[in-house]
Amino acid sequence: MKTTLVLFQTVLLTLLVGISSTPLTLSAPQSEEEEFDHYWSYLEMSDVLKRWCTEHGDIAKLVSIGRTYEGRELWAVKISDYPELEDDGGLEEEPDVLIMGAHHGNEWISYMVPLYLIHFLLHNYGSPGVNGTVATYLVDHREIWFVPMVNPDGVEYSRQTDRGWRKNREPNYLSQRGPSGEFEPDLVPFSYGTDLNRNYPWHWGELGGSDPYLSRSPTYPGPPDNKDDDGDALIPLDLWDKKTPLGPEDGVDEDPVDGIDNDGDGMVDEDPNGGFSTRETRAIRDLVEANSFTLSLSYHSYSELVIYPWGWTEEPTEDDLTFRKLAEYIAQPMGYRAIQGYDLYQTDGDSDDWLYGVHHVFAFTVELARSYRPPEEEIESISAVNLGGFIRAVSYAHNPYQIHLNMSIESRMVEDRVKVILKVENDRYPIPLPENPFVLHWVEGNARGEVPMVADGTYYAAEIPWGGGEVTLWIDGKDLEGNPLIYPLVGEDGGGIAVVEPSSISAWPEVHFTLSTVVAMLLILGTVWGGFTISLRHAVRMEREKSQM
Amino acid sequence: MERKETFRSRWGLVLTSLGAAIGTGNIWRFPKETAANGGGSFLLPWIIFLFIWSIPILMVEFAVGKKTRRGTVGAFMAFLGRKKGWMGAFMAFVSSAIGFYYAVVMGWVLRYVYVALRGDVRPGVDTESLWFSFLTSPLQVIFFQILAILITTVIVMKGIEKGIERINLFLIPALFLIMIFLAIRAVTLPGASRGIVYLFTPRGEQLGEASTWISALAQSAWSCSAGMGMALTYGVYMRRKEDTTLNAVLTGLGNNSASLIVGIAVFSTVFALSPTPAAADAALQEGGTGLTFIYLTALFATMPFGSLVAFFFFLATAFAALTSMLSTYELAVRNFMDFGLSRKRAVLYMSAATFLLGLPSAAVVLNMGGRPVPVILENQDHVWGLALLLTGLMLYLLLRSYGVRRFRENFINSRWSDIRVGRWFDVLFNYVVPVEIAVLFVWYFYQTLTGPSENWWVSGPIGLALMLIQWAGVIVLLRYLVNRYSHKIDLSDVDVNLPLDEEDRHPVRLYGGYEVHYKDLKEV
Repeated sequence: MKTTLVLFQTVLLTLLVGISSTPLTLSAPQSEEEEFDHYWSYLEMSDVLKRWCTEHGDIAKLVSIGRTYEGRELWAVKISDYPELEDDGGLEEEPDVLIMGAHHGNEWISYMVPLYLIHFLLHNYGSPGVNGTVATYLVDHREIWFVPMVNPDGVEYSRQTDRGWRKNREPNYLSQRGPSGEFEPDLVPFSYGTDLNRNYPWHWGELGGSDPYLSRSPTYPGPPDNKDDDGDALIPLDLWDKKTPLGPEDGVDEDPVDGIDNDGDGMVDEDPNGGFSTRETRAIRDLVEANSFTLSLSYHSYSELVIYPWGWTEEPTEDDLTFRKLAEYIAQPMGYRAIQGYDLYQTDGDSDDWLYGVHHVFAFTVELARSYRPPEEEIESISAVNLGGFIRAVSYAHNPYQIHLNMSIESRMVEDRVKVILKVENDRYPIPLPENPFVLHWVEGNARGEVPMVADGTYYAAEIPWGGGEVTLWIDGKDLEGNPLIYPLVGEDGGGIAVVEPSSISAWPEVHFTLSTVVAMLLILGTVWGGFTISLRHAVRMEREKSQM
Repeated sequence: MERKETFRSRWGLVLTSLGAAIGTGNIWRFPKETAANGGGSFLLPWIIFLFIWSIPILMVEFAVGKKTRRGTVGAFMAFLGRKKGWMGAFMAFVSSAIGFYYAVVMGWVLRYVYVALRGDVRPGVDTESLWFSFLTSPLQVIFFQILAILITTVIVMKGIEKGIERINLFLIPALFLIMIFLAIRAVTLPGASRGIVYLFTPRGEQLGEASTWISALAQSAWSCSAGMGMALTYGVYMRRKEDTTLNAVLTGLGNNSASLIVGIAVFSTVFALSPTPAAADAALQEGGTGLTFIYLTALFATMPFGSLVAFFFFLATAFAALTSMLSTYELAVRNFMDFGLSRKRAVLYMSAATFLLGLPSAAVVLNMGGRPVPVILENQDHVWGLALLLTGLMLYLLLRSYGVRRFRENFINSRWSDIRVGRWFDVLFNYVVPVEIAVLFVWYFYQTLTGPSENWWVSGPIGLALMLIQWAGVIVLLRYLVNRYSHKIDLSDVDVNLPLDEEDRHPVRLYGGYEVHYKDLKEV
């Protein structure tokens, strides 16, 4: 065959695949003052976040999204270009991503990792090299919200008093019927804390355990919501004396958050039976409702897993295939395993279920490491490894379904032209591609141009002139709705993140054995090797003759 | 009568001479030069210069050695008179000076043999920091330098037949076998054809450029080390019945054969495994230690059984370095012996000198432009590598003063010659070689003077002034020393007016005035 197929490899592709598969080779953040060599206290974290967000005010905004029971600010960091503006003031639609850590006080590594990620983005933004390219792209084209420590009270209690402390520190009181006949809380708390990651309302409390008498459990989901939120005059059974509700016997008193109109009043989920009883989860709720997150990662420890919904049922979600592919893709650089939450153990009211169930966020829980609090010297390496999964996840936030798009670029030389071929395989893509959605941009030396890529059978193709130098290619694509199809991270074989921003692709020129090459080769090898052989044979003969003399 | 040392067989001589010719230059310099000068369009002139420079000069060297049976000092005294002995001494010094830092280089290679053996050449290894961290730990470098010196000392101490010849008889075939194995492994890598095509394709425009031809001449001259006096030294140990011409041809062609095998292996590996043409280009342009210890090591790490391949590659490089090291040693040792020292003492002096004078090359590593650079070593490499310009000129003067044609008739063409050399030899040395020498001189000075300014003054390690000062200093010193001790060299049995064939037929004065017929001498 005259034309030899030569695979184009994007430099960026190689590097990014390199990063995401061996993230340890990424240079750790150049921390002059920030040391990821110990677990930070809440105060230390607050100071650092304030400093970072001051130093990098152009891309980071620090806000308090609430206060804990003990009065600590719940810090949230928004990282994006023009952080004060939503979607760059309407200039660019940027997908929102939510990254959370430390729902549980004893899972210390789970707030160090988000802090490391913040640090990575802030300190590499605008710098050259791979780290810089990745960080700059993500900052410029995403709005990433970090809530590194959702449960600071729990973390501090765990740090100072009880290492194993998981919940927050709000007291739970038992209620007694007071002299007036009304229930009044005890003066002395019965127990402390609610498991924040059981306090989201999706299918809340279905596993039981919300009884305040059970509130000493480490997974206490918070008290039930006995209020008549929807004003239908129905409240639940009295938990204490099992009295019938106030309303009609056959009425359905509550409409818990599960996407179903349980009480048949035409409104869905308007009368939750519990959840959001804590300041922390309510702060998260407000943040989620104020933004339109498409994807979230909630860090926990431990198990080395990437978990996707549902947790409350063994049934798969509607997007199970997408979830599974994404989870596996995210888990790969860390070597973690991807499983559905229920398959680990059944949960109710965890953040993933609520985020996906109510807001259709592609929400993942990452169970880090192999212990709640890995040795301090492992913080940095665990974080660095997780950079890979984070980058992969965030780069899909614009449209998680694109995980089903498998794109590969290759090229072949056709005399002095390069034919660039883009293969797009779609195993489950809800948005059909327009006929010729791709534009190929190229730069070689001072020459540049752009060519539409035309559908050619099962792939898209375009040709560009090639002067023999290094060509930089990038590809722009839009789906039918005008959304960008591909993003600058190119996944591994058929993996699926894809290219759009400039990336350097250099061609291995096609080689042929031309006549002149073959002649020169034969001449050179013939003279040298042949001459050596002939001389050697002559020498052997002469030597034999001499020995006979 | 003193039992004279000779090679046991012709093959011992040829392989030993090949050992002197094949060095790290074949592995480090050849791929770089070939890449820089356009592959096939470089190789064609490179072959031409093999025949009109390297091989003829090797012939002259062999013949001088065989005729005079003296090291370089004695040989120059015999041909040009005792006052000119310093020229031979300069040759000897140049060779030794190369040996001083070459021991360090050989140490590096030995270290990498060990590194590969330990299995450290594996995917993901940062070869740059591996190399730089080794380079900047003087104790390690000195340890391996001492190891290299010890190996060389032991071999040279045992003499020609039991030491140098025996080890070369093993090392050089082994070197070839390993290189062929590596070449086959490399050629079978997917994408290797890119390298092969690049290596051999002639590019017309570059064939027409002067710089291509000059680079080819330079590569041919330095690679064979013709004119350095090493072939002359090994010629001393030729058997009486030995041929000089065909052996020179064998040495020259053998050296270039090795270069081509290495070239195929390196080009195939680099082109097949580098991610982009630019990366392949960078690796080849780097040449030298960067190519070997950083790029190739990294590429080996990515291939299946890379650790094994790397081990064999460095082993072969170590063999090439060792056999060249032996020749630099022997050249000096032979001269010391001519001055009356025993081999044992001569070798011990050499080893002490090689260690002490090599220490600065091993230990002085400065940070230049963010990379550690062994400045003294680079300076010495430059100063004494380029001294070939002078030593070649000296050898040429020897030939011209004797008469080219007369030399050919008396010493090149003897009854033991396997090939008769015709008049082309006279034409070559009368007209072509002087032009070549002149071109090398002019080209070097032109390049240096028009290059970056630091090159031609003392500031840089490869400064022109620094080089000339060292040359001049050494020459002044050697002239004094050689004239002071010249009486110690016994030349009573050397008569340069007597053709080699006549020596066979007529008795000559031998060994302190005793007349002995050559026929009565037993071959050892």
